[in-house]
Order: sequence, then structure tokens, then C-alpha cells
Amino acid sequence: MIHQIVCGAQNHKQGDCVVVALPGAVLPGDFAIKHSKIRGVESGGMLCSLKELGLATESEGILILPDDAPIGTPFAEYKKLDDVVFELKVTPNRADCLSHRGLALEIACLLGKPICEPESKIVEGDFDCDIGVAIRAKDLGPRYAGRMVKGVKVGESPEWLKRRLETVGMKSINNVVDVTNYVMMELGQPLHAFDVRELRGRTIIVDRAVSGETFVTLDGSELKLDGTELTIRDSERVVALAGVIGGKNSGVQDDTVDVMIEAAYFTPASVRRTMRKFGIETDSGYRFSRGVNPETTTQALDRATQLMIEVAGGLASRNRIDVYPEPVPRTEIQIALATVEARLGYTIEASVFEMWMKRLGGELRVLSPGLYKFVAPAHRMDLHIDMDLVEEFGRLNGYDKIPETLPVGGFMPAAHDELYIAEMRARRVLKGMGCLQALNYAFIGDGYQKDFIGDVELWCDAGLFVDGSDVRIVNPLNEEINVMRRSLLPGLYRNLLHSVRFGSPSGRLFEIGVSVHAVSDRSQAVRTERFQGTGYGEEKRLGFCFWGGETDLWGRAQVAEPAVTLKGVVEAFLGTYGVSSIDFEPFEEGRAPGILHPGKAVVVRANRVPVGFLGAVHPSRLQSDKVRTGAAVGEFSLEKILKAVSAVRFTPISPFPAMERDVALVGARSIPAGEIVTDFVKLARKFEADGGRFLKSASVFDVFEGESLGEGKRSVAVRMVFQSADGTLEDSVVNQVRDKLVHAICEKHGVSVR
Amino acid sequence: MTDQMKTKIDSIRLEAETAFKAAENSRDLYELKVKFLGKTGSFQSVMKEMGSLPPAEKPIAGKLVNEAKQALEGTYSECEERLKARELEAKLKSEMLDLTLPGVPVSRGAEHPVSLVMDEIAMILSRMGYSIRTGPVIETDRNNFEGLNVPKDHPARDMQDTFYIDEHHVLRTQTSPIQIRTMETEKPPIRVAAPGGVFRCDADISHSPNFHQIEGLCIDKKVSMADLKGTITFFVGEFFGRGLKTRFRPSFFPFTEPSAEVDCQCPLCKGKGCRMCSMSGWIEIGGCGLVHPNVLKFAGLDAKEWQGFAFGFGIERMGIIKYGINDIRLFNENDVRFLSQFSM
Repeated sequence: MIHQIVCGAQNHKQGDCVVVALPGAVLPGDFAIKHSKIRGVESGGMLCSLKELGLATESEGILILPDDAPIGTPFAEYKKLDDVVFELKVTPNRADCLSHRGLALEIACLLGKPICEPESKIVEGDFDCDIGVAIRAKDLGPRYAGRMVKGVKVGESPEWLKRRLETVGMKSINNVVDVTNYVMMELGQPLHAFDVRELRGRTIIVDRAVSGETFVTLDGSELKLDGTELTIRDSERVVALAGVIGGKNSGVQDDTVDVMIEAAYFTPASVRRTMRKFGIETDSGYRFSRGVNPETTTQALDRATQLMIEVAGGLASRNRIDVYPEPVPRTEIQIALATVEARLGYTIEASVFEMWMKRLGGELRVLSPGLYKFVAPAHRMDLHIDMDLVEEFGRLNGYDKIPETLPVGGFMPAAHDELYIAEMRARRVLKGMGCLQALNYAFIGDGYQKDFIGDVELWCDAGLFVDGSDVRIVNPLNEEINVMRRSLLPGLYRNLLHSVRFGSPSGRLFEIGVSVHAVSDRSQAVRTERFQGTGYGEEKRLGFCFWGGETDLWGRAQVAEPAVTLKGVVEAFLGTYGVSSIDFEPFEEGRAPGILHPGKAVVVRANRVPVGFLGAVHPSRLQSDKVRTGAAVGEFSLEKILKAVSAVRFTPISPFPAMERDVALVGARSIPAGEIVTDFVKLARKFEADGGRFLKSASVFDVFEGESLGEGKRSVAVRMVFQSADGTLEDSVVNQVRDKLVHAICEKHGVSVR
Repeated sequence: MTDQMKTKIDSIRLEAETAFKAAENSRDLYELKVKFLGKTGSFQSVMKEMGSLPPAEKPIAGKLVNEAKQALEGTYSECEERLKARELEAKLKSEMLDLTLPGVPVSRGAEHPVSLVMDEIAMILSRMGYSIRTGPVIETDRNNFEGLNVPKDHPARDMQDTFYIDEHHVLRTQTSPIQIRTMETEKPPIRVAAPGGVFRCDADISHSPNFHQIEGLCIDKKVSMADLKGTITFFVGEFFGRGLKTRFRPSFFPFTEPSAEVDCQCPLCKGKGCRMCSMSGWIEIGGCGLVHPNVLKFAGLDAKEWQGFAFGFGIERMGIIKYGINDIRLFNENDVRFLSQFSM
């Protein structure tokens, strides 16, 4: 069949064998080939380059195959690329599954069939391995085996070897190194090959490093050793970091002729410590740190010897070295069938249990009916206690066989963490007030946070401990999130910018979350200590960020500027907690945290204790962030607020009419109206005997500023409500109290009745 | 003389009736009433004239005046009623309020979906007798790892990329340290639910470095995998919808043995297969297992006397499944358009 295909490449000539993708084919990157017209010419397919086939990252022109390539054969078949690759996620406990043989054993167990072991037929030369091994740190390196292969020819690996390594994601290096990697993947035993020329002396020593010595790895990095690392050494120096990486001084070179193959067992913790310390990740280290079967050492050594001779030539020494002074014992576990039944929750036939234990490859001895001793197979280093066997039986027999029941036993009535319940309630109260709950990361960028918090003292004055220094993350993901937050506001303000940018001209956000502090003498005094033992302080905070909304009703002014709306929400919020005394006072000397407008900020006190602050965001900040509406923020210690909470106690209500008296007071603008109103209540208490006790409330109902009052002046109209529980009040009594209060207020604040 | 009087009364009455009926609004009408019936009105002058009548005629004339006045009062009431009705109608017409315009905005608040999910799970567990417990976000290495059967140099530490604060402190990688805190301070039997924020430094497009978990811990004298499965199935039914099945898959967690991953039937397609469950009909929701004896021992419990099970779920993941949220980043951007969707 003839296909007409338009091709833009230049590197082909008539008669070339090429790779063609016909319509219907899908190339890597989900590139589907279709019939098309290229410059008006019908084209039914594409001639492929290596890059298009996903076989190279860069390639020039289309791929030209040798003339003997069988025409019409699928390319994958021709290149033997039609292999199936399974990607498995192996949990850390199943190191035995990190090789093909290991997986075969697992499948054999499930299917109840034996596995085929790879054969090792070794071509021996007529010489002995004249390098000895001495283990001097058998706690870290219990077993070390080796064999010499003389006369190898280092070169490219055969195609099958390269391809198989590529299939499992490894790069081919040379035939000798490839064999060690291949056997590691096949049998799970990491191997290393030394160039015999480079080994000084005739003994390989397994010992801890000498403190202070240096070691240069295969890939050229220089490490300074501290004496805790397990090393492989010749008579003079370190030649490998045991199980982790080989040395530059002794690796296989292009002109290497004689090779010493190492197959050893090193303990997981030691290898892992060394890897972590130097930040080295290798396939060998990965396996050793999870656990290598100490009984595959010589099998792997034989297999590698055979394969190396097969692909690189040479002859093996007659003998192999195997130093294993104290064999690692197999784990013996005593297990009762009744335990398995109780933990899994169903009855089990002894024969079924015995079958699975045998299939695991271990040895099962019946001690008495229903009581067994199980000797774990060498490759299952994760089996230590009876519960491990409960799991093994459970999963092999099928988790689907576990029935569904509910626990019976000591029922405990739920008594929840009080702060969680309080927080849940606070969220719902604020939701009811029209606020949206935000949730930001507990960490933030140090620069942004520092800039945002500004003068720490002002925060402390408002009852918010922010400390001077950050709690740093040693290994942050990036510099945007490198310290723990000391305040909720930097995050909330960022949420405002995001929302405004994406089309939300108004919003009311709140957040409840922790602020984190380092311990200092001062923080000890200020922070609340809920959790013992970490040495870091965490406080539950409540943060707000409101913006926009001033003209929400058909373009008409409907609500006040955000700071006033926020104040209303805070008042109502504290009110729902029954906080009896709530005060809003400007910061001292007209200052305020840098994010706030200095003239629009207050410290909030509950029962006279500062619990936080609120105010309008500084206009310069809004301007530089291109926010065109007003915005307000507030932050509170939720824990301090909760301390001010009082339980609901019913107050009798009067059956007699209330009487109102209004008074307008003129004075300097700078006199806080809040103080005047508070003083009405305070003074009423003072004049209690003179009828002050009848004052139920005093509140501002009008504020007026105008030229008629004079510059810098304003009028604040206050409504007093009087009521008695014992009878209808006489006008004369009420007027008398009013006059007394007003007189005292005028005197104290220097205001006059308008 | 009375005839003359009668004619006069009749003529006033006629004039008044005509005027009343012609009045255009209630105010004019009232003025007319004053003019004819008021203290200085037309009838008053007739009454004055009556004084000169002979005594015998006075009652007759008086009666005539009263009859006329009564009739006029009646006419007035009728006219007034009619005018008032017309005027009210006009007033209502002029006062029309366009209630198709938006009302005074009352913002609907909302809790964050993470809080919604966390509370809902906590409250379902609470009904089964689980008490909520919390812990700090900066944890000791001891509580976060060692106590949970993850000693230093253990490969399981690779499962969770950990943020370190100093040599002995980490940002907790799981809510499980709360288990240790509870077992060390409370006497068994124990049933606790531990919600909270956790931290891992393996963030990518589908992982956040700061997400949330909740886990349940049950310590008692006799608990089994079957009890665990029953507990989780009950929970799944309450949270996602009754009737959904659950299944366990073998897994590994250092602090449980046996361990399992939990799948539930996809709540969206009820197990038929859809995009959310990648056509499998099942969706992974968390991990669980029987508490490892080493964990019990570490916390000072006799592993021969006490056993336990534990299970944990990712809050964001549960929210993604329950609400169909399609991007993990939405959870922390706090966009008003996102948050306001959860005002239920």
C-alpha cells in the first residue's frame, strides 16, 4: 500500500527505511496523527524523528533506520520496546519488594506457586582472589562478600542490558557498572565494583571513618567525615561510603582490567544517617536504608560475576570472599490463632491460617493447638511481632473478609476541648453577622510580616503579644513562607488584595487561628500557655479585614466606612459573650500600628484588659496597593476575650415607663465621644443616691460639626434613658439627675450645653 | 312666616348640598361644612331670625332647621368618604415603591469549608462518644515521630517531608501527636477526635504545605479491625450519604498494625463510575489501623490489657469530594467569591 506523506525534513533520500505514524496513531504528548493537507497537498501520516517518538529530548531530522530493517514491522516491536512497565508505589516497610525477585516472591505467595531463580554459571580462572576482607565494625556492617574478575574489557553494554536498565529508569554507564545495577534491580542487593589497580594493600577494611578525614565521591563531591560513618577502606584511605556511594579514587574506569565486586549487608540506620547527613540519594542507599536481605549477598555476587563475564569478558577468581562473623538471626514470632481472630474480628480456620503462613515462605511450627511459632523468611525483614502476622494474614486472606461491627466496651460520654467549642461558636456568631471565614497558612514571609507589624510595642499595648523575633522554619519551601505568623493580619490583608483584584469591591473577612511565638521572659508573661512541653507559645487569635460597602444600596450611602462597620461587629460580637465592660480607646499619643490610619484606630478593652485593636487601614498603604475603597482591620486575642466572658444571668426588667432626656454637648473635636458616654455611666454610679441609679443607658444619637460651632468643635448629642423598677419616675427627679450629670460632664471635659 | 322660613332653609340646604357634592377635595369640603354648618355658618343666621317668630312657630321652624342640618351632615359624610377614598388612592399611587430594586444589603456570612467539614466530622464522631482534643502546631519530635513508632533514622520519615523548627521541634506532620498527648494524660477507655492543621514540605499543584486532618482514636479492652470498619462505614454513611459501602486496602503506617487505606463508594455516582472517581466507583478517603503496640507502650499503656484503633481523614480532600471543589489552592486564597458559596 502506498501512502502519500508530506515531510518537512531534509535528511532522507529515496530508498531510506523510516518510521511512519499513520492516521490514528497517537505520539507522545497526546499528539494524534490525522489526514491533513499541507500546502494544498494531501498528507496521510508523518515520518517521525527520535524526539517525536519520545526517544530523545532533541534530535535532528527524521529517524533513518538501517537498510535491513524489516519493512511493515511495528517500530516498537522492531526496537523491542513493546515491554510492559508497571509503576508500583512501595511502602517503606516492604523493602523486599524493591526488586524483581522480591516482587516475584510476593506474587508467588499470593498465587501459591514457586519462583524461578536466575541461574549463575561462573567461568572461573585459575587464580585466587588475593584481596582479603576485615570487618572491624560488625555492628554497622555485619557481612561483606567479594570476588575478583580479571581481564574485563570495559565498554558499551549490549542492547538488551541497556534497554532493560532504561525500562526501570536507569542510565547505562558501561558494561561493568551496568551489571552491578542490573543485579541490584533483579535481586535487590546493591553491588559495587572497584578497580583492583587502585586498591592499596591487599585487604578491604569495613570500619568507621576516622574523624576529620575527607572522601571524594564518584561524582566528585568532597565530604568531610566525622567518624560515625561506615566506610570501606583499603590500607590507606576510604574507597567507598558503605552502601551509599563509591569513591572517585577506586571506581571502574574505561581502561579498568581487573575488578573487585562487592556484595555486602550494611545496617539500615547507619546507611540512612550517612545519606541524610550528606544529602546523598542513591539507589543503593535507598535499598540499604530500608533493609536488604542479608541472605542474598552471595547469590547476588555470583549472579553479577556470571553476567559481568558474559558482557565484559574476563575470568572469575576461583574463590569468593564472604566474611559474616555473626549471621543475622531470623526472627521468631509466637502467635496464637485466637489473637488473629480477636484483632481481625472474625473466626478463622486453622488450616487457612497455616496455609498463608507457609506461603509467606517462613517456617511454621505448631506449639499446641492454635499456638504457633513462626520463623520469618529472610527477605521479610519487616516481620517482628505477632501483630505483623495479624496484618499479613488479614491482607493475604483479604481485607474484604473483615466484617463490620461496632466496638462494645467502656462508653465514654463526649467532653470536648473547650476552646474548640468556643471557636466553633465564635465562627457561627460571626457568620451570622455577615462575615466570611478565611483560612491562611500558619507561616508567612519574614520580610512582609516585619513590615506589616511595624512597632511591636504598640501591638503589646493593645494586648497582642507579637514578640520581636520570628519563629523560623529551618527548611522552608520558599522565602514567602519561611517564618511562623505572629499576626493574622498580613494574611487577611493579602486576601483583600486578591479579592479586590478579582472583582469583589467589598468584603468582610474574619479568621480564627494561631499566632506563634518564641519563648522569652516577656512572652512567658503575655502568652497563654495551653500546651506544655514544646517551648513555643501559641495563641488563638481573631482577625478581621473589611473593605468597601460604603455605598451598597443603589449607589447611595448605606453603611458607614469599614472601620465603623467593623467596630459595630466587634461590639456585637463581644456583646454576645456577655462581656460587661467594653471600651474603645485611642492609642496613646495618637499613635497606632503602622498599618493603621493613626487617627482612626482604637485599642479594645474587655473588662478593662486590652484584648486587641481595630482601625482603618492607612490610606498610603491602600493607595500603593491600588485599593480604591476604604478598608479596616482588627486583631484580637480570642483567648483573652474568652477570659472576659461572663455567664448569662437574668436581670429583672422594669414594668414602669422609661424616660428619655437628650442633651447636646459642644466641645473640641479631639475629645473622644466614647469617653463622654462612659463618664455618664461612671458619674451616675457616683451620684447613685441622688437618682443616678435610675440611669439605664447613655448613647450618642447625633454628631454635628459646622461653622456655626466654631473651628475644631463639634456637637455630640447624648440620649439618657432613666427607669425605675419601683415606680414611674417624676419629671422633677429625672431632670435633677440629668442636670447634675450634665454639669459634671461639662466640668470634666470642658464642654458646654449647646 | 314659616313658609318664608321654610323656603330659606330649603334654599340653604340645596345650596349646601350642591356645594358639598361639587367639592374637589376633603379640605374644601371641610371649609364648606364650616361655612354652612359652623358656628358662624348660614344656619346660625337662620337660627337668629327664628327668635322673631311667634312662639307657636318656633318649634316647627326649629324642627325644620334640625332636619336640614341632619340631612346635610349625612351628605357631608357621604362626600367626605368618597373624597377621602379618592385621595387615599391618589396618595398610594404617588407613593409607589419599586420593590424590584435590591433590598438593604444584609451580607450572608459563611464558615470556611475546612471548618464546615471539620465540625461536621467532629460532631458525627461526637455522637459515637468521641471527645474533641487539640494540640499545638509546633510539636516535639518525640510526640510527632518517636512516640508514633517512627524513631530517628527510620525510613518512614521519608513518607512525610517535615518542616523543622529546631533540632527537637517540627511543624506537626499529622494530627497523631494529639493521640500521644491524650493517652499520656487521660485514662482509658479513650475515644477522641483530633482535628487540626498539619504541615508537609511536599507542596505541588495538588498538595498544600499547610492542610488539615482529623483523626479518631479508640482505646479499649477489646477492639478489632471489624469494629474499625463498622465505625468508618457508619461515619461515611452520615457524612456522604447512607448506604455507601467502604472497603479497606492494605497499607503501611508506622503507628498502626494492621494498617489499611479506606475507600468509600464514590458519593457522586454511588459507585457506578464517574470522572471524580476515575471511573473506578471508589474514592480514597483516608487511612486507619489498629494502634501499634509500640505506640501504646510509649504512651504508658499495657499493650496486653489495652488495644485500640485509629483512623484519619484529610479535611480538604473530604471537602473536595463533598463540595466538588476543583483546586486545592482555592482553600487558602480566601477569595470572597469562593467563601461566599458556603453560607449554608
